[in-house]
Amino acid sequence: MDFSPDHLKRYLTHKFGTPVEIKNVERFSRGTSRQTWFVDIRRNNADETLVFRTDLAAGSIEPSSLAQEHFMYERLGHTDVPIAKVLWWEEDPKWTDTPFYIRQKVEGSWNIPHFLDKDPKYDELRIAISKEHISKLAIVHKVDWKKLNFGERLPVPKDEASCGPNYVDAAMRQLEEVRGEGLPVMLEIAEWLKDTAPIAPRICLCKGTNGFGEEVFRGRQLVAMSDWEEASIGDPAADFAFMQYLAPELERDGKKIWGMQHALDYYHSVSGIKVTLEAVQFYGAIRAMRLLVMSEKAGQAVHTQPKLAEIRQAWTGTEVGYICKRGLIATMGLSDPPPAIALAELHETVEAPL
Amino acid sequence: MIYPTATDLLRTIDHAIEEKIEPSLKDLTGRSAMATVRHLLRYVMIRLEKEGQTLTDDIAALRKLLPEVRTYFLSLGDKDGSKAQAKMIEDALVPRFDPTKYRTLDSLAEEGAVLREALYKSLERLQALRGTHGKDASYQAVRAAIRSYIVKEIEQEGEIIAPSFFGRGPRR
Repeated sequence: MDFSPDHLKRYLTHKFGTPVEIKNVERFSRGTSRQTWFVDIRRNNADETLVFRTDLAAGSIEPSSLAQEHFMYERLGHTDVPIAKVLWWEEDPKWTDTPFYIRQKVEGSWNIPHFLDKDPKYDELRIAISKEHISKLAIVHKVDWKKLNFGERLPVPKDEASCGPNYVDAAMRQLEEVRGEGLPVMLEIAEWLKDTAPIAPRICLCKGTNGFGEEVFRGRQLVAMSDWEEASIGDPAADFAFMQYLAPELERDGKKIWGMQHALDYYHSVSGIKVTLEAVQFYGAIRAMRLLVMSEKAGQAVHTQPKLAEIRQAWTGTEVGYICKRGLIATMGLSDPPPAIALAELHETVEAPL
Repeated sequence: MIYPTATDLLRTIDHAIEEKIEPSLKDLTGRSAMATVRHLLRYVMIRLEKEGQTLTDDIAALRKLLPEVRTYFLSLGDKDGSKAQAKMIEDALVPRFDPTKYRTLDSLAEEGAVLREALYKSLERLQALRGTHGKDASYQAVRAAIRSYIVKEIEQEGEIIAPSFFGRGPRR
């Protein structure tokens, strides 16, 4: 897609059937899986911002397709889940050489001021944000995914006992599509996980990667859930394993005041669904498997299309893959886990240093 | 053409980025990309230093392990594609490099990849046999040997990754 103001002006004027003025075009610096562009426009004497999503030039890091991501936003528009409204899908070669879709921008920020500030005076903020996020996850998990046909795109487990194996099989299928080398650790963990899979408390729509950096907050309110590319149908425990930072372990004066168990208890109180810590740990390994697939895909993009690949794909294809492999052998009790600092640093950015 | 070495040059390039280029970057996207570049530059420096030996060790480990796996498949006779699997390992073990030529990192990586793929396919086959042979001591021994290799190989990778990235600031 050509994101030059001239091309965007021609395209959007054609699309809206009314003159459009391009005020600003900016690529969002966060996110590694796909490109996100904010395009500020003026039409009919009103300002608005459109969000464009498209794959990276060397292909998305995420194994699921852009079309699936668009599908998720379209379907979620029929639910109570807070999301940005999706506007349309475009693949007409007259306008673009790669497909993209457009959604509205929801005012707010991925950043939550002071959430990562270690000062205990922000504990109350951290707990409030955690509860807000968990309440919104509960809305996702209550979505009637059968009625809204989410199973058209997402693999559907046949019953509660099949949820875990379904995630394992999906990750292995994705690995086969992208792997550049033999990864025997994936075979070992797949077998181990199938042997130890928990039975899901119910089969839910799950968001996938969620939490800090993945949602839009305005003050203490979560106003839009974003980044649906890892959505699945399965065990709600998966979303607690895929959560970034928003169930922080807080201990003050020797007393645990918040943590994953508190988050699960709170989730039970708002959803009626009981998720166990053991199940969350199980899905932590599933998450590492999926990240390793992404790492492999990113590494292959650098290997086969080095002039098109982005620098972040090179990082994802190296350190991220190692961290996942290390985590997987630790899960099986074969070695030590990667150091906690390394895990924390994976989510650190120049904009939000630890 | 001995000095400065490639590693010397990469260190100087990194220093120039740190001292001259990074402070001048005001744009968040540029600063974020530069943070990633510096991590990867450090990673390349450490790979240059360690990867040759790491790959040589890995290839040696695979050349020791794969014949053991092959022997196991041969012990099963011609059942369940075991003979074909043994042949696939034999093919992978055939040397494909000229011993009189300097081994580049890429050629070592290529050899390691061929051997690793043979191990991957063998493990897939072994997992398919678990239901019928999983309780056999010889089956368990070959699976344990593979698991031990996997752990060692990942831990070796850590010798390059850890000093390149851990504790060195935001990646992006």
